[in-house]
Amino acid sequence: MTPGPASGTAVAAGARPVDPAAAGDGAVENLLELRSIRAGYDRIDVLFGVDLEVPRGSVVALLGPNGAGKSTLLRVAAGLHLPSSGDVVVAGRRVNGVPAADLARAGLCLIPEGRGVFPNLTVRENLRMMTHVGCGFDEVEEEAYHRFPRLRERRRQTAGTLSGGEQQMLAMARGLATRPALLLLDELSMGLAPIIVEELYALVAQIARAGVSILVVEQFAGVVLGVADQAAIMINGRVARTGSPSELEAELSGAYLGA
Amino acid sequence: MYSEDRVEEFKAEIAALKVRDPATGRDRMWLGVGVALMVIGLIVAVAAYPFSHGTTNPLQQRDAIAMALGGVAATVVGSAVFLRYSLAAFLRFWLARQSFEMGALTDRVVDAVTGAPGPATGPGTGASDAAGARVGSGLSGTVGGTAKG
Repeated sequence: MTPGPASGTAVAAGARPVDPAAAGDGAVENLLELRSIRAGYDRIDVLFGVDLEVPRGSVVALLGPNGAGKSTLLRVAAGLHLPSSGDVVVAGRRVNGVPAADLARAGLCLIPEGRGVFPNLTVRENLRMMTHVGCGFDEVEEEAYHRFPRLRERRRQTAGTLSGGEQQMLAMARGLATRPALLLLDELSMGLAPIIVEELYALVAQIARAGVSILVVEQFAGVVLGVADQAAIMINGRVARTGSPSELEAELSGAYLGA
Repeated sequence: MYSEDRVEEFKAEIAALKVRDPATGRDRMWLGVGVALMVIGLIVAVAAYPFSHGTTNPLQQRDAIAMALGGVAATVVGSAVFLRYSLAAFLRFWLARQSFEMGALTDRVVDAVTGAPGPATGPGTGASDAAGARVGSGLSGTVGGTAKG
């Protein structure tokens, strides 16, 4: 049974849970919905009415050139950036203004651009930080080293001295330690060798098969379209195209270059 | 490691999060504006008196009169804004209460007409729902009885 909100707290209008059974016709339940999102920094608008959905158990790739607003959209979804208008709906509930930490504790995990590891802590210490979700450190370590054997070799090395690929592995291991139901990945391939990128996206595909819903932002479409169920192209703060990877692959150059 | 249970657990935790209603934030803002206008208007109106008495220049005295009138107007406007937004929350609950009591009264009337046992008073008993389910059958029975008569 789903517990209701605490008494004495006003619930936002439209916070009514969406019942997938009521939708009828086999409608897919969306774990994340971004509705008409507008956001910016100070007086500069970056997002101009973005609509995006991440169905349950699917991988959605968000592509686009530099400066399109992809990372800002992920930050809005994770609760790190408040939109100026629009709704962030997670698991059928509007969550605008909910602290990012609360969303993270619930199971929404963002692995940010630049990995977000603590550079002056060792690999072990970085992993130990994830025990805040309530799981044991041994369990976190065991799973991380099982997925990424290279981290076991580097466990006493400070994270700031790891290679880019190893840092990304550590970031993934930390994120997965929280057992997320919804995973947001920002520029997984940034600064990494192609072979490492392939390994990481193979892991993403494995995670997706296990039932985790994933929204992955990428500048380079090649590898991510191989694992995505759906894709969207963002240009200048708007979603220009959506569709299946095969549909979009043919339109990518036109979408990026405006041809 | 991951299963459908994890997604259901996620949904349950999201449903339990406290989400602030944006409308309540706006109401609080306007309440604050109303209070500020009342206070500022009162201060301005009161300050106009020593200002007018501190000069023999009729032009300045008239300025003071205008200042006093402006202060009074601001106080009146602030009071209206404060009253409107402080009543809004009260009236919302009042309307909800009215709807509930009308529904309960209807249920009691229907039960009296159909001869069914009355529902227990108070919310959350579910008796209102049961009585509501009997409304249709009760009314149609009455109509049928009348027609046959």
